[in-house]
Amino acid sequence: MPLPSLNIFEKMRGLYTPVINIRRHVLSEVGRMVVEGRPPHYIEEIPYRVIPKSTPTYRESVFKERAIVRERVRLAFGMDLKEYGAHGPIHDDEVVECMKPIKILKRPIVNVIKIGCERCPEESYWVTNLCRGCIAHPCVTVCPKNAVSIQNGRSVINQDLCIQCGRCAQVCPYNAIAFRERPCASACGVNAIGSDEEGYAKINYEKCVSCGLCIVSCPFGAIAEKSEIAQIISSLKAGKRVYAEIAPAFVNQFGPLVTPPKIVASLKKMGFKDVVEVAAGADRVVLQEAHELIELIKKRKSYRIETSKKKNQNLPDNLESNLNIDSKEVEDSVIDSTVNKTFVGTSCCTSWTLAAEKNFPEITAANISESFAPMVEAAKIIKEKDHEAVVVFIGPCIAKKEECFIPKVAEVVDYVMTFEELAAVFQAFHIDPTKVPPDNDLQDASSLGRGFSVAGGVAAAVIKQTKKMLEADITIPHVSVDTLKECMALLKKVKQNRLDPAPLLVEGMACPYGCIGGPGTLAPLNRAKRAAQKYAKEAIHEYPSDFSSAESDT
Amino acid sequence: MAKISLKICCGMNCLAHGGQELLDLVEDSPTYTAYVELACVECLNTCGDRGYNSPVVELNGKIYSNMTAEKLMELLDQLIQTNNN
Repeated sequence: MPLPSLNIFEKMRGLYTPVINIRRHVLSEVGRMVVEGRPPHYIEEIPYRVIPKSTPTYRESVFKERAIVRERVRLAFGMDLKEYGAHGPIHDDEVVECMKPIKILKRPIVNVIKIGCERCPEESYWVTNLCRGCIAHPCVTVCPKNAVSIQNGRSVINQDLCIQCGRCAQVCPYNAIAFRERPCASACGVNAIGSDEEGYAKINYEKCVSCGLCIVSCPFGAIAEKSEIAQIISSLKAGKRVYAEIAPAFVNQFGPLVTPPKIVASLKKMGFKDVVEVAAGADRVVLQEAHELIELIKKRKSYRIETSKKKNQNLPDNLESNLNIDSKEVEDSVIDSTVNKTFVGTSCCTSWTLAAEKNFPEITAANISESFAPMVEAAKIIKEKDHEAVVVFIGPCIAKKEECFIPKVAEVVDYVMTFEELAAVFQAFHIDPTKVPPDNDLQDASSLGRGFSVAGGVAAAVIKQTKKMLEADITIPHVSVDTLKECMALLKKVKQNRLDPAPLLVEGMACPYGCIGGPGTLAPLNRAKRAAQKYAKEAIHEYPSDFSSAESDT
Repeated sequence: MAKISLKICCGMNCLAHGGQELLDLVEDSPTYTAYVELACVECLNTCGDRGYNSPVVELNGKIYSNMTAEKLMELLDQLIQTNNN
């Protein structure tokens, strides 16, 4: 029996491939260059450090390998790619700018390195060598367009006629017909990847939401993202008041020996003033989304609330009136709601909100929660304490770099760095987190806030909090989906009212398994999931509301 | 029969360059867990200045660098076979 087939996200993830090897070496070399304060022209040496051999390891020649690394180096410094075919060194005046503690990042975040792209054929059905030219040849029979024929004892598909229905592949007794697709395009949930006239992959930035999943899915490593590590390290070296906010997916990313207190200690050793859990921001998001959900529940007519026995008296005043309702009142409120808000959409995943806005503007405008992402809320906490703080978000996410272009977000979050980049920075500073004495444990957030990193965690948190706030045991119809493809399919269903019961809460996550499956992670998925769930349980408070009440007590 | 002692370096260099995958390889395979005494250890201090020979593992007291999942599987299979004979 063959093993079950894996989807595109499961195929290469969790494997340490040579593509990842190159990417990480580039990052750590760039980090080292800035930490050691090398002169700008040193940048020319980096490709030779990453590809030191004279015989090619990955492609047809070392020159091409180094040329691709040069482009990666430019991206790692946060510079734009050079136009394909443009002549010139990697080093120019831009490098000097990049090594200053000033934000220089420009759109687009996700870039195709054209010279690295192998021009994979676009989606098509293809007859492989397994074809035996059988007498039955069902492939010919089932083809609705007569595109399949037998030539020289083998089945041949006329690509001009083929409409890619896939019937021939389905019926072939030898599994000889394969569906070829570009890994980058099949990883993209919003169909943003097409080809240019020469056949190179080209990203349609109108559609792209910078989720970064094409980056980790390209087997040639031809897509890469811009990085801000050079500016972050410069800020640290310049002695600015840099604060780190670390996403809840960070547990176990740096190996089983590196406990959260050790990460805090290593970050502080590197020059960060303080470390705050992004989950603290997630707590605020949970509370706000729970409020929105309660508002919505009150408005929904068809909605039945079964309050648990004697808790009725404890309900909030304004709610009580709406709970023991005569139906007239409810009908009024339904009519009152001129805004046709039908569900609460979570706001924490940037790619999901962007994709929803771009593809379903009519239903998202009213429905996606008004709360900001946890990153922003946590950054606000930092900026409230220290106005001159430089806030660095450390997480698994590439889309957060995109989110920082939103003016309101740019006010509070200065830089974004992935775990992968953080590992490179650790290496650049010669800090080994296993050997640093542990700092204080992080206890900024509740267990629900920490649960945000695993798919389904956001919805679970909001629902738990809502139930607690209503003090009623009610069932709230909700849906949680991961990967953008599923998200878009779900929104389509919501739009057409095909879901029964219609969900009140919709959680979307762009990455498989949620944030722990993000493109900037280091740890394999299952390991990270286990660790994240365990870490969530270790929080002192379970509910975000416990937290604020405990704080006001003290 | 003595178990094979396998120490996988969990320092930052080694982890960033494929150490976690090695851990997974051994932990997720019942064959290996039966024969191998696995330990994650702090940096073994054998990686070069720039970490180009990471990840490093110590197998029955001997240091191997530039380890990949394939190489480790080969080494373990050999050791298990000699142990069995």
